[in-house]
Order: sequence, then structure tokens, then C-alpha cells
Amino acid sequence: MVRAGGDRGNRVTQEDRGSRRGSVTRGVRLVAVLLSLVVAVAAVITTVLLTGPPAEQDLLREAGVIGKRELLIGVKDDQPGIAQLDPKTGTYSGFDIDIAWMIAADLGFRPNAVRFLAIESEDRAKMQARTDDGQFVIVDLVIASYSITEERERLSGVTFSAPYLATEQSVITRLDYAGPVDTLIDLRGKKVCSLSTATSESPAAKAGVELISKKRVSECVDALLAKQVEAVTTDAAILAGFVAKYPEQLRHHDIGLDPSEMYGVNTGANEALRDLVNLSLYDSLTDPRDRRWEDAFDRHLRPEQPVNLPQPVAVAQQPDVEEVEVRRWPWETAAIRPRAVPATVR
Amino acid sequence: MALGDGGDPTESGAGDRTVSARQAQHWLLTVVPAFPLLLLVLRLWHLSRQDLSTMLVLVQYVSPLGLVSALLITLLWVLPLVVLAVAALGTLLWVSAPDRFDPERSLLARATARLPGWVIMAAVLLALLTWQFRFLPCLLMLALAILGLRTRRRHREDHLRRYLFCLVLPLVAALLAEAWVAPAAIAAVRAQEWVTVVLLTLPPLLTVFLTGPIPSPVAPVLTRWVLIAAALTAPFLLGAIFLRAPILPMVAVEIISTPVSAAPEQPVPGASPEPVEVLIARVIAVDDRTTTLLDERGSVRFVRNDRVRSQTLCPELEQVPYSTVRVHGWHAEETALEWAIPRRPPADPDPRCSGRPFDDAPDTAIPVTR
Repeated sequence: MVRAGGDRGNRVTQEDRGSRRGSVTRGVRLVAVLLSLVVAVAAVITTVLLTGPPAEQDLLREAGVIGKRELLIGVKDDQPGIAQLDPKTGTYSGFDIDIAWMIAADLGFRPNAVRFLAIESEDRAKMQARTDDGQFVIVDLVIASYSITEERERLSGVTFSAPYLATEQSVITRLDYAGPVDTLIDLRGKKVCSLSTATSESPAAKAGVELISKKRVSECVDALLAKQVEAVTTDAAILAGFVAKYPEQLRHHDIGLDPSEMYGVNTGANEALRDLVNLSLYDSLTDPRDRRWEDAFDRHLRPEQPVNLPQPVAVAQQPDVEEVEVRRWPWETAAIRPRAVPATVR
Repeated sequence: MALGDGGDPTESGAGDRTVSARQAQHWLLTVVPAFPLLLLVLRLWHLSRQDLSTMLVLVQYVSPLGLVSALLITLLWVLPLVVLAVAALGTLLWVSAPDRFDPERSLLARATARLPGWVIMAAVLLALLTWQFRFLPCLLMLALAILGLRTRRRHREDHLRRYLFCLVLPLVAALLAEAWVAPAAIAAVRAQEWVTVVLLTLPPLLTVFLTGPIPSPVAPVLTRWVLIAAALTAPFLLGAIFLRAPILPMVAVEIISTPVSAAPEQPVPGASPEPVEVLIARVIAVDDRTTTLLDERGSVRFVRNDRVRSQTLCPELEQVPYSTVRVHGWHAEETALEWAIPRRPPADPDPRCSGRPFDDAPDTAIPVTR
């Protein structure tokens, strides 16, 4: 193959054969040279013109996080285990709150630069939360047991992140409730309280229960405890907190509804922020040393499980998150160390 | 044509054309040294966002030595590339069409004929250190092609030597290289980085076919047009690369409205905290009174030193690599130098670099008291 074309024998036939073979070899080499030029062009394109995915810092800039003094997060304030405001200390606690700390830390916000604001269910799409002095402000993130549904995704100004918790709908009753509650149909004709905006409203309505809608789930539970309604239906993760709070009075029922409720973070119309939230969730899912999700689950939801049997509180594993296309430093992709400031200060 | 081969030297009028080719080469050699200077000025022009006053401030303060160092560090890898590309194309022409190889008229031929072996060796070594890992298979291809072509040129009758350097060595090298980059290539396929796959796997295989002559009528045309294309695009490509290179350090500066000296030593309990502006900018100069900064929009800010509460260096965004491929711990976009030399351990991001004051630990804020 590497015989030079100029190599010629003495006899005419040999010469002919040699030159023919030589020209074929030269032709093959020409193809190789042209291919190597293609490689060279590819190299030039990759070094000079390649515009890969944005770097994390680009996303932060695009999301408007750079220069932002305070990250405002809309959370629930009346759901024990998920997000509850302690009126004495003015601090929030719960699974959603820990997830919010995690995301805020990954966005580069120290705990003192994060502000939680109570948000009502119907305001979660509008991202309007109220401040302590009664003003409504637009928050940056809504992490408020907000289930991802197609209907909500179609609303303008709603951009869901990847899910961070999977749970399902269930029913609680008072402990002394006599009848069986295996499906919603068992509650036909009974007064059942639910949230006015909740996704659990429609199956209950279909089952033919007498639906009482309230704005806050705590009002439903109060009504249940006051014997004004027979049952409360909404997400198991929310109800489990109340059952754990009043184990002597409430009981959780597994009603065998199939579709699961996936909680997502609403980032409004900010898609760069959505990508950053997904990046945080993806890191938490894939980095074995990042146990912030697991710790949040162990602290808030796992202890509620024994009193809530037979209904599972939530799926004890972080839902799948698709990989986010983002340029990162080699040590970040190699997961040499956990990123950012762990949210340890409460 | 100054760059490539000009045609048959024996045809009539060859003498005139030789003279004109010579003149063209002289002009080229005059223009080439001006190019780095042009790049430096363009870099400042780009940094000042085309504002002449800002550019003049930059010219006043930015050290020429610093600029030249930035240029050299950013474009160091170009030197071996030029040497190796010229040597490969020139030798290919020499081997393929010896009768068209005229050092009198073609700069390529002259450079190739005069290029000593040790310069090529030095270029290969420099490239080994300064080229990113993903381009090392290309380096192998270039080096072995030059070696094979030069062997073929110099030792026409030594069949054993030609057999060894033009066939056996490229084959063995290709096999070893493929075995070595295979994990990286698989990782690149998984990451769907197809250009990286091509860059890693194709060049060693091609080497085997690049150690001999190509059809002699094609060689002069091909080498000439490749060189012309490279010469025409290189200024733009190098300019694009250099314009992205940082030449001033990026800092985040906390600026307060009352001077540091006038502020009380102990903050008054219950008093509202001092309003702090965090400016992310590039430092042009610091003198005894002001810190001169160039913010992201290209406007110059003069900040009194006693208003600067603290400052910190921020990481450069441009350096974040695109590829995620690595082999034996070597990242595809790392050079051997970067791989071998210890790197600063990654630090936690500073809130000041995100535009937020560093107020939860005021003790660590270092006031500038020049």
C-alpha cells in the first residue's frame, strides 16, 4: 500500500502493473488527505465556533439571579410535615422548606438571603405571595406542594421544574369513622372537604360525594375535627402531616387511586431558572454524597409513616430528573465535592 | 502565488514570475509581524465596547507586557500548528510532485526545504504540552505523516527504512493510540459529542495513508489552496479566539456610600445595615485614591478607595469546558500542561460574584485602606 508510484521495474509488464498499483495507492492517499482536512475543519469548528450549552453562570445571569439580593420563595404555611409556619418563632419547617433551602443554596443564596412567603393555593400560578405587612409580591419560586398537571402547565406564567416528590391522593377521616373507606365511592353522599384548586377535586366530584371546598387544607382539617365534614381528601403527603399531628383523632385511608401526584417547583415564565432548579434536583439525585433530599425525607415524611398506615405518605425516593444540558467545570461533573453552600443554618 | 507552488518553472517568463513571487513573499513577511499588534489593539477596542475614550483609558493603564503575555498564553498552541502544517503540506508536495517543488518561487517549498528536523521535533514537543487532549491524535497524525514523508524523500533506496517508517510505525502507533483513546471515544459516543469521536478515532487511522505521495497533478493545487484557505481564515479564527481571552482580572467589589474611615467601628445595634452595592467588573487600575473598574456593559467606573469595603476575585466564565469526556482522568479539553500541573482546589462560590453582599460574615471583609 505504501509502495511509491515512482518505483518501477525493468520489464514492461511489471512497470505497467506497478504504475497502475501506484496510481491507485496515490488515489487512496488523496482520499485520506482530504479526510484529514475534514478532521482539521472539525477541529477548528469545535474550538472556535462551537456554541455548546450555556454554562451554569450563563443560566444564573439569564435567570436574573446575578445581582438579586434576596430570593423570594412562595411556600405553604399550614401543612405540617410539608411546610408550616411556627407563629412563635416565625420560622418555616417541612419537606418543601428543606427542598427550598437546597435549591436556594445551589442557586448561590446563603440562608440569610432567602425569604419565605406564605402563598395561597390559588395564587401559586400567579406566583403572588403576601408579605408580613399584607402586601402582595411576586416570588421567584413557588415550592408549595404544587402538583404538575397538564392543565396547569398550559397556564401562562407557569413553568414546572422536574418533580421533587411523588405522592398520591388519599382520604382522612376521624378515627371514629365507622364505614369502610376503600375507594372514594364509599364516601358517596358524605360531606367531603377538599381544596378549591386541588387536583383531588375532580375524582371526588366524579365519585358523587358532597364536596365542600375550602381555600386552605388546615380549614378542611379543622372542619373535620369539628365534625362538620366526614372526610378530607387531597394529597397523602399533606394529609399525613395532620394525621401525625392528631394521631388520636384522625385516620388515613388508602383509596387506591392510580395517578400519582408529582410535586414540582413553579419558576413562573423563567425557563433559565427552571433549568437551574432541575440542575439542583439532578445533582441531588445523581450525586451519592448529596443526601439533602434523603435527609429532608427522613426528617419530615418518614417519621409520619407509622401512624398513617396503610397509606404510604409519599414515594421514599426522589423522582427521576432528566439531565440538564449545561457546561460545567470538570470537577463539578466528576462530583469531587458537593456544590455550593449546604443549607445547614435554619 | 506567494504561498503555494506557482507552476512549471521551466516555462517561458519563469524568471519574471520568480521575481514577482519573491516580492509577494517580502510583502507577506512585512505584514505578518503587524498581525499580533493588530490583534492587541482589536482586543482593547473590543473590551472598550468600541468607545474611544474607554479604549484610551485602557491603553493608558493596561501593561503591554501583560497584553503580550495574554496573547502568547492564549495562542501558544498556534506556533507548533503552523510549523507542523507547513512541514506536512510541503513534504507532501515534495514527495508527490518533485518537479513542481520550487524553493525559489514558493514560500511553502522554501520553508519546507529549510526547515531543520529539530524545529519539527521542538514543535511536536510544544504541541504535546499545549494542545488539548482531544487534538493529540491529530498531532500524532501530523508528526508521523511528516516523519514518513521525510523518510521517503531522503531514503529513496532504503526499502527497509521506508517499510518501517511509512507502514509499520504508523500501524503500530495507530493501534496503540486507538486502544488508549477507546474509553474516551466510548464516553464521547455516550455523550453524543460526535466531533470529539471523530477527532479521537479518525486521525490515527488516517496516518497509515498519509506517509506517501498523492497523485502528482493534484498535489500542487491541493497544497496551494489549502494554504490559501488557511491563510485567509486564520486571522479571523485567531482573532475570534483572542478576543475571548481575558486580559483583565474579574472582581466583585462591595461599594458603600459612606467612606470606610467615617463609619463607626462597631455597628450600632438596631441600626439598619449600610446599603452596599456589589459591582462585578474588571480592574483596570488601582492607585492611591481610586480603583478604576470596567463594568460588564463596557463603562468605566472610578470608585474612591475609601468606599470599597471588600473585593474578591471571580472565576472566568469563558474557561468552562464544553466537553464532558475524559480518559484516564484527563479531560478532553485539558492540555498536558494543565493535566500535569496542580490546579487550585475548587472553592465555594462567593456570593459577591453573584452580586450579593458578603454581609453574614462582616469580619472577613477586608477594607481597602491604601
